[in-house]
Amino acid sequence: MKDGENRTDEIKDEKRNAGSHIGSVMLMDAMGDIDEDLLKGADRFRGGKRKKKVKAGYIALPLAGVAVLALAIVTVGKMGMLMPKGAAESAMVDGAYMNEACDEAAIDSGFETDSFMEEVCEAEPAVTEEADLGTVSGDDIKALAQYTGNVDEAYDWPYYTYFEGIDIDSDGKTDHIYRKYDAQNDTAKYSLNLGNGNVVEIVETYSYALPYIVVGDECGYEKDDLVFRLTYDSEKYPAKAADEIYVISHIQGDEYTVW
Amino acid sequence: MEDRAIVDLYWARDEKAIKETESKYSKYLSTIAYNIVTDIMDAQECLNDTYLHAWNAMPEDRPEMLSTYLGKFTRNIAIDLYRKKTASKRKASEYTLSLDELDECISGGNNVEETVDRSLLSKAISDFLRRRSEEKRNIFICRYFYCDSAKDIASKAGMKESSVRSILMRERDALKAYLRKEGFEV
Repeated sequence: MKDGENRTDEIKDEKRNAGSHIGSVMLMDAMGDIDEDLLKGADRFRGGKRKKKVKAGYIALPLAGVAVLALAIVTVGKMGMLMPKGAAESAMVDGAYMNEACDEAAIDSGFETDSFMEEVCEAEPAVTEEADLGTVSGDDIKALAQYTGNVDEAYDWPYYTYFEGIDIDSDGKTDHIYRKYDAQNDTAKYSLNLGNGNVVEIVETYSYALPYIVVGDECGYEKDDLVFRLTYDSEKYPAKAADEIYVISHIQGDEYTVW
Repeated sequence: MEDRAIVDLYWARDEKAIKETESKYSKYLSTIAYNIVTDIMDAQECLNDTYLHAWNAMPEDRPEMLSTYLGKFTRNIAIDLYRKKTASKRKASEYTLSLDELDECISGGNNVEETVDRSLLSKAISDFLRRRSEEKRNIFICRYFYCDSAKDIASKAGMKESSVRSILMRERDALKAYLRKEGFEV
């Protein structure tokens, strides 16, 4: 051990005596020879072979947390946002009628952009057909991060079955989680499309913050709520790794809360 | 095809090895090359040289992970090509931007750099990186090994670009301090 320490000191002395300055080129060259095991981790991080496994535990919210959220929702009660009225009566209608409904909904909505509203509605007709999932792969987080469309139709989306075929407003029409990827800002905007032209905007976040969604009567109103949890998997600290939770609850009629 | 099978092809001197390598890793390698040379034709040239290097080196080497093994070849070849082509003028690329960033934390300049044993420096950098958190380490390697842009790294890390730049700045400072502690003059 002592010999090792002496040798280390000798090397340090040699470097100092040589007056060896390091330049940026030298550093970049030396970076080329760093240990390969370090590169393996970086390779996974770079995405090509990156496989982020979803932790099953993330799907179910801790009961205590839900109880707190439920209490909070009761408190905020009528702070509900939305909903545009007079939209389409059916998700299965023809395109022209759907467009008209979307136009009307967009006018009433007060969302940031009408074009986004239109996109959400225009995603609806695809529901009747088998979704085109050619670009989405369960092993390819990047593809998921850049996915635009109904998330519940992306069959490779982690745990999509937990919210497939949901009907939060109990109007008999299937509701969908719509996702729009913004390549310029690398963000994704999520919304709940209620299938009747009404849309609840949920959140806009980083594209890689993939949501875990659970549907159930979390608030005890005998109605389904949608719990939308954004998880930042790159965070190693659990508290930071799941720091955004939204609960979407149906109050009455066209009123919803997003808490 | 599995890496091991591809390596076996190299060892058997079967030319299908090149084809399989290209099929599996051309995109990965061309990204590394393009980040440095910023020219598609030059990047392709780097890839061809990489395959040739692998062909020549493989009977002796048996890499465990082909991607990083080839990636190192590509990076070094691309840097050499970049230097050759830009001896008189500096062309903007992620490589030059990386150099500029490193210049900020290094006082010695480039004129006396050859006096340092490169392998010692590489070992010191590897040791430094092992002491960093996984996330910081990966960000640093993406920037200064793969020459990925801060924007790309931010996208992969789910962070803002400014956060990545901030992490890189702190990591450069930490590296500088570490190298000084290890007896390097920076």
